[in-house]
Amino acid sequence: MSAPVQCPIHPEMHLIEDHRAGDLVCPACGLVVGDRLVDVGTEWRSFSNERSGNDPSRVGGPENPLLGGGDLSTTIAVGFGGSDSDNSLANAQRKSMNNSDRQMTAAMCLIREMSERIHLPKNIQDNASRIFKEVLDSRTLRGKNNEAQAAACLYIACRKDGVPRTFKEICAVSRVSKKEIGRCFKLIIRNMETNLEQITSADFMSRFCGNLYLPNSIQAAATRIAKRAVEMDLVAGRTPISIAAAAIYMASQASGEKRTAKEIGDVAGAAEITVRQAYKLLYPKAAELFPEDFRFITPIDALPSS
Amino acid sequence: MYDEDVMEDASENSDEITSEQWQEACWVVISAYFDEKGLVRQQLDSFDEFVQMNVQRIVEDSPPVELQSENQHLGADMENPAKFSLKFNQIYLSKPTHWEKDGAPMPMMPNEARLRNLTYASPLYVDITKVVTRDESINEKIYEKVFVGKVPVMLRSSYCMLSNMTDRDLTELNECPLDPGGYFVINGSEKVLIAQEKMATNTVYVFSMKDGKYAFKTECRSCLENSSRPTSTMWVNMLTRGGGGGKKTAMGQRIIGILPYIKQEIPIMIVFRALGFVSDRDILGHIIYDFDDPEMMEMVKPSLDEAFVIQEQNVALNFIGARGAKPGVTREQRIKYAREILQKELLPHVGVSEHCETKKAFFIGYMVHRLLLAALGRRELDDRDHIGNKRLDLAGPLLAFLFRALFRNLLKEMRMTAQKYINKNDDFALDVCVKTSTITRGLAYSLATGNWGDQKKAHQSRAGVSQVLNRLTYTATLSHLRRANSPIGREGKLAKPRQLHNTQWGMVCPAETPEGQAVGLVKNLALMAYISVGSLPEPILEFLEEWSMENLEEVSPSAIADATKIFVNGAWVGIHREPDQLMTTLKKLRRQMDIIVSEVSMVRDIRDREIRIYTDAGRVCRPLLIVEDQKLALKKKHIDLLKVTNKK
Repeated sequence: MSAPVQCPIHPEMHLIEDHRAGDLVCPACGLVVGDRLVDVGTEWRSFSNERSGNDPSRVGGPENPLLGGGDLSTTIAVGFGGSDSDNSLANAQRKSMNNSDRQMTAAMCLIREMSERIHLPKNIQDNASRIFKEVLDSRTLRGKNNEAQAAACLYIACRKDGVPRTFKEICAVSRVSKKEIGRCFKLIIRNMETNLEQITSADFMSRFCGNLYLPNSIQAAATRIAKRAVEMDLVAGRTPISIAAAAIYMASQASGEKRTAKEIGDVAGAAEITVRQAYKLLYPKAAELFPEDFRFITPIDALPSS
Repeated sequence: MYDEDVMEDASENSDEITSEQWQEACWVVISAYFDEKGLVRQQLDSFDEFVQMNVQRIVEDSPPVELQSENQHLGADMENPAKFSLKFNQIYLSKPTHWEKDGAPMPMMPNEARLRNLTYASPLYVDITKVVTRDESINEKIYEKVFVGKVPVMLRSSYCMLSNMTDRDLTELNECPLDPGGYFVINGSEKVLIAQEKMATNTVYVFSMKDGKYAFKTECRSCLENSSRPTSTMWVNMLTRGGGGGKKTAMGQRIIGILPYIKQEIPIMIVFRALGFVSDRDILGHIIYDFDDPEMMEMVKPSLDEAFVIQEQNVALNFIGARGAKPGVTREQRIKYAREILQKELLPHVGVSEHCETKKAFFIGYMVHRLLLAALGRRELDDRDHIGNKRLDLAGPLLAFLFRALFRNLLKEMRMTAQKYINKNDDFALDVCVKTSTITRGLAYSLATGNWGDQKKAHQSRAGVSQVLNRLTYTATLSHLRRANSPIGREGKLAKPRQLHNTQWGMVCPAETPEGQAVGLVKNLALMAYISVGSLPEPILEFLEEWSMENLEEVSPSAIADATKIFVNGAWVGIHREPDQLMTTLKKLRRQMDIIVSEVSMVRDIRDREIRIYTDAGRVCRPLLIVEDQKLALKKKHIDLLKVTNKK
């Protein structure tokens, strides 16, 4: 297209649109620069209080870019009040869906099911579906179980959004083993070449403390303990989950809301022994780990040693 | 001493409320009513009943899921395959919760839901028992509090965060203390469930048809409460005289019955014979309770003559089976099919078990009796627009209808998923097989769009049940929350549903109705009108048993003529010889709130000798002043007591 229209006398003037006449007018000299502008508004009025079933401005819902390839082909949709012939047409079209679409729909259904169980918001579900579409297109995980792929995509989506879920949590809502999910995850990561942030204990504090009904002060204290512990390198080989669990144990034992190691382990998906072992590593330096303004109901000396 | 006398005199005369005191007294009563109940009590009570009673009942009444491992491709043929049985027990509904992105649960406030476009819903948990029978060893495992879905919560109901909050707390949460509640928040928009009006079920109505095949139509919409079975209607009609030509006119007006799932009409005597009452005398005993009535006997004669050919129960069953939806090939099949229909589909509210024939025969006889009385002009025809013959389905019954269907879907999907896993691994993890989105999305979809019913069975459901709450004015909101809709098509019908009916006095507002297409069909409840929430009829049945009500099976037909028939929720349960006494006792019990809840309706029809007791949900009722012996039962001391409690 040629350069945008401008007034020949005042090139830098911003032209005013006159909708009624369809003109572009220069405000300085009044010259009509462009005319016969096409009105791209609605063709007919639809009143908002008219409860008519069909609004003529609306011609269908948004297309799902993950399915069907967006080539503007026609699908038979059966809305409310569909007759039998409409239903049979829709069925016939559904049966002749191509394979990747079928897999994609099944996967989206799985992801939605799994997300519902751990109450994940819609945007994470959409991200997971998007990742799955990428994986499907790149055909990296051709042979693997669909459910494992979907679970791995969900894991990656959670992690990308800054709210990682542990493998154990994803495994609890999915029907495949942790090993399968881990395998799929590694393959996808290798293929996608994205860098996922390392998980830290802080990511899980909110959820674990929420599920244990611990107040904010303990959550903040546990976060601080875990952070300091990692900085001071007290817990060399431990996973961030175990560190988080141990930090929560320490913080809760020092406050009025005590939780047993078993309870914390159940919520975090770690064994009781793991929690205790990590706690043993934290115990010697307890005084330095706690934040300065922490209110000790049970003083540091009275903390259990294991 | 002197004081005592004066005091005695004073109390004797002046406990009555005089006409000067009446103005003040009645306003004390009215304020007390609204202070206690508020303006949207019918919505809140209906929803509370749904959550507290219906959900548990629906979950418990569903049959246990039975599964068996079917390893067809394994070489070794398993003689005893492992059997699994899942039973759903106690439900738990917590307060509305919202999980943030990071997974931490937080209590959700309604205003937060409105602003963030969330659905104000609380999670529903169920205890599930899994029984595994593997090679003679039975292993039982209880899964506690399995999450099965989220149920939207009505604001200000007993499960809402805002119930029992002071004005100050409400203001802190950005909720107006004057906001009445009674609506849902779905995806950020406030939705009201409009009460849907329908004809009452389980009652016998006689209508006359102006020009048509039938002179009179008696119908009974029979529906088993708390079951997903749809209403099956039964008609007992009387043909118009002079219908078919010479032969028919000579015979007189025959009576036929239209049974569910049977394509053609069946002469009513054949139905009686199919139920097991073969002899003419037997049948007449069920229809005409007084044999000294020549008019009635004459009217029944044509029907008896018509059915003369069929004199045996099996022949009658065969006759009915032959006209059924799927004519079976052999005679046995037809008879069995007819028996099934008579047991399960015909008048399910009377009974669906094996030995209900007597009760059903009596009920059908009663229907014929009503028809004959109407034809002879001894009893008035029923009015289709009488509010007593209508029921309003509020949020509770509407949600229960949805929930029942969704829960059944949930079980079906669970069965399919679990079956796949059993075939592969011979065991399955329960919590992963439950598809939680079924209930969550199903309820949210219907509340959001107003399309009541499954998304796929679209054409059968009705639209416009859930509407966006009108927030134009405070009054508009209150009015919207008290609306009732009659789903009659916008074309005219036989009776006059749009006209103001006399029975709407005190129940439905005579002035407030929209202009235009929906005039008279969309109604608004009167201020003190209350819609019954439904209660169990069992305590009343027990009480009646103790109070010498004679059961239908024991009584002889001749005794019915003079005694009063007693109906509970439309089912004829027995007769009684002292109706006066019974009625006073029932009323006394209701006023004392002992055994009989105050929302139970008891009607005594003295002329037709009937006592009808209703405990079902959806009846429109209102508080009344009790008058005994031309004097108000409301005394000064009641008013004084009310004043004291009001002040508190």
